[in-house]
Amino acid sequence: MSLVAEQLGFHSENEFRLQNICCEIRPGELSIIIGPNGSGKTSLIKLLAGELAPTQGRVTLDNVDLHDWHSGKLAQRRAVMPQHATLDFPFRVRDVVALGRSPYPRDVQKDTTLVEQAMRHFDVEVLGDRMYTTLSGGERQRVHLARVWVQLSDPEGIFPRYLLLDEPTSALDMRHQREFLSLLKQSVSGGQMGVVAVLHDLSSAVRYADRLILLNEGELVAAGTCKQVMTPENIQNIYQIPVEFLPYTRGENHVIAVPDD
Amino acid sequence: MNALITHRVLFTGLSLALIFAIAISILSGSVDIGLQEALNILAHSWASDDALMLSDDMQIKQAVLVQIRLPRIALAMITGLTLAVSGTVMQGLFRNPLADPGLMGISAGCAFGAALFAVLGANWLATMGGISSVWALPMAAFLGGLVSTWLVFFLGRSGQRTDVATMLLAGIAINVIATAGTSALKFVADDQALRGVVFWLMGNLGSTPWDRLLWVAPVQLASVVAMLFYAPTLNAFLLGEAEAQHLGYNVERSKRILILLVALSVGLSVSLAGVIGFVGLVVPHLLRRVVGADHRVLLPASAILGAVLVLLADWLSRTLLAPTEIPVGILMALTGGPFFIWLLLTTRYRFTR
Repeated sequence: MSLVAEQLGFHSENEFRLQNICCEIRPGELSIIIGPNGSGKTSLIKLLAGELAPTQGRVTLDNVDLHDWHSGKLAQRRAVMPQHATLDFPFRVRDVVALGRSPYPRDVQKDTTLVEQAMRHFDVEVLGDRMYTTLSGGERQRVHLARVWVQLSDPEGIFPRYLLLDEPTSALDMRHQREFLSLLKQSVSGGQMGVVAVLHDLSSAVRYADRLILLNEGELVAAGTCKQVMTPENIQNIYQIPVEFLPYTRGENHVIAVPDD
Repeated sequence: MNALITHRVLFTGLSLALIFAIAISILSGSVDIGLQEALNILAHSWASDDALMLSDDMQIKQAVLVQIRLPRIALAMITGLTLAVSGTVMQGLFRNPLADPGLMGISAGCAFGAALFAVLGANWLATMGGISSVWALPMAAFLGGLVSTWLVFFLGRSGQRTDVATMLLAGIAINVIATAGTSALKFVADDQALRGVVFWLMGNLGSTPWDRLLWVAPVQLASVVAMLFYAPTLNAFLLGEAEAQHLGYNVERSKRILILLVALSVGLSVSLAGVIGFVGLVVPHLLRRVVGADHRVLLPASAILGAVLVLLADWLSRTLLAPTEIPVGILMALTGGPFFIWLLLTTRYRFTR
């Protein structure tokens, strides 16, 4: 019962973008994908989402190949937030969030409750009647987060569910970043949800991840707990800059700092 | 303002506008028919099919009303409704507020298909016997529209996604090619066919008899109703095709069905009324400014506003220079063109991302 990549590979125009990726997104865990630019993080998310068809291997959900899933049923089990969510048409924020209810039969009362709830979670309830096109970048990102949140928040139906996020915090300020990552952490803790997110901020990754997936040049370098993956050698080799690991005041986590030249 | 109140006000306003447009269309024309007379004639025609009870004067008026004005009004409404809804669907499907059956070569493709049939096919069909031209002309227009739509759609795809800029340019190219093809047909056509083609390319709501209308209009209406059911899908499409897929929609199938429905309904509309541009562009854009982009509201509102707009344009075309009639396509282009320029000046568009 999990979202599994088996020997996954993807190439386009004779160029490998990903090869030999094996990983498992488990319910109850927050998995974070890290790696330098162009290492294949977005391709991996798209493959796990079924948006790209793998040229090698396969992705399975509950042991069934993603391409054999009925798209409506799949949408009740996993939601995907792309790196660049675009919407150039005037749509009310409330209606954008409500699009997350698309996979479910219409139920006005339930729809409204779940949409309101998600808007509160992501601090966008005051924007409810604004047009999406008038929002700032960070506000838009929060609206889309609320949308994918709604998609998985129906109390009835089959669990566990999976949330796939490509750089979900890129436009968020510090407060919203922290609130969002805590919310993710809290939501996986019940074991009914598995989350995989691409993050660039290594300190946040260390602080919140249950499992890290480190990619470089289309290959999986390391996967496992923070302790196993986030070693000074791994980071320096792959990012090609010297780093210092500073102790975080609580627990054994680290703040990763780049010293002066 | 509360969205629900906005919607009520909008639909009440649109319905009143529609009633008004139908009323002035019934009442204006070369034969003077008053409101009371019109209602009497309609009640009478409905009640019994023999006209013996009416005076001579009233019989003429009945003929004018039932055989000329009513089919014209019905055609204007169905044409406006079809073009406006098709335009809204295209804009949603391509995520571009400039997509329109007219601009993107669909109407031109329909026109070419129909002209091809009118100039060359009619003779060929006459030698074959067989299919009645009541069906063959709309079919030719539909096929022309379908081919041009597919071409635009496939030329506009780059890799896995639809590239809007390429697609619009492809639409312009298809438009030019189809128009050139139609011109070539006009060049080789004999006088009678030429007059028919030219007249009909300018848009003409006045020459469709009831029998053809009653065959074609229900199919048009059915495809428009089918498009209305795709409102939630089109909303999801606005986020992008990948996102619509993630939300559980079968993107490829919906896209194929919608394109087929647009080609079918626009093809049939062109076969009956000729080429009338700008309705599909102007109507959804105007409405989006008022109610936003939610297709559940936008599509039905477009249907009514489209009908109103073409009814009013037809009324103007008949009364402006009466007794001379301005082809409605020309009138629509003369009013739609400046509106289009106004759109360009007041709205910021992004063609690439």
